[in-house]
Amino acid sequence: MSEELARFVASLAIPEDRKAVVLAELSDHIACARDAAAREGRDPDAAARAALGDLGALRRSLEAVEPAFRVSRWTALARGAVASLLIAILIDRLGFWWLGSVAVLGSLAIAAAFALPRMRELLRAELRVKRVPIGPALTYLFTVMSGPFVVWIAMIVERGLVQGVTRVHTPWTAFAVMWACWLLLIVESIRVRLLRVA
Amino acid sequence: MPPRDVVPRGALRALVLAALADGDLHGYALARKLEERARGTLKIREGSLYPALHELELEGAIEAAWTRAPDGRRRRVYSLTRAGRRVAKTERAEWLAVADMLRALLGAG
Repeated sequence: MSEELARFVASLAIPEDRKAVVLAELSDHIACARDAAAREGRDPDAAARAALGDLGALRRSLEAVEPAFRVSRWTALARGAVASLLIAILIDRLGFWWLGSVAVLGSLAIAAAFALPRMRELLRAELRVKRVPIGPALTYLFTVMSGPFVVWIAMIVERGLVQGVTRVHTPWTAFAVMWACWLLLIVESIRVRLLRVA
Repeated sequence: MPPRDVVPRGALRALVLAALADGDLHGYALARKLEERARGTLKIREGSLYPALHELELEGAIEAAWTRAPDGRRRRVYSLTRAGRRVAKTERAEWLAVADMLRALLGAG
């Protein structure tokens, strides 16, 4: 039984350090079920097998939750910084193309591509719990909202000092990601609040 | 009637938080405590219990500490955080309100 459990946990698509946690936890669970069955005069092996339940369902739910443990605030900050850099370059080069549609779609796609796994669930969780320090989801959102502006300021300074360019054209598309992030924050905050008071 | 092994979405986290409000528990003890409270009407599925515990841990509502069982095997014991106590209170009130509403609506028919 323990070998079967070890094989099952090893086959899960979750971070390696979480596999150790899951294996220890499920092993303890099975051992407890076995002990309880022995005390109550039931078959311990059958109880241990029954304690694990549907392995397919367990796999699906663990693989949905565990990857989020890989995400720290520093990871979120790094992902946000890379996304910000790409967004800043994209808007700088293509900000006015096709009435800005290329820049808007491109920048939103970049922000979505670099977003954390289970981003909305994480964000809801962070908004739900009061007085908890800013978590990975909010870290990512604030980084991706403000990061491009930092890059553009650096570009403006560099062009002014090195190339002598003193005129700045700001495309409206520069604010697309910021508006999208605020919209997401407002919608999720209202949703969390409504669920709390419903 | 056989015990239900499915609870409404979101209700399991409220049940877990309520059980942990009475004291620290490991996964198996938590499942048995909930089943005892339900007096045979509920069977906790491990496939939903541990992911729910890990989700609450991610949210900062509960925290886990490693201990040892009497026979020496490693064991994770969960406890509520300060933030978790507030969440537990809120979720309890919400689900009791939902239960009252359903009782009124369904009982009235």
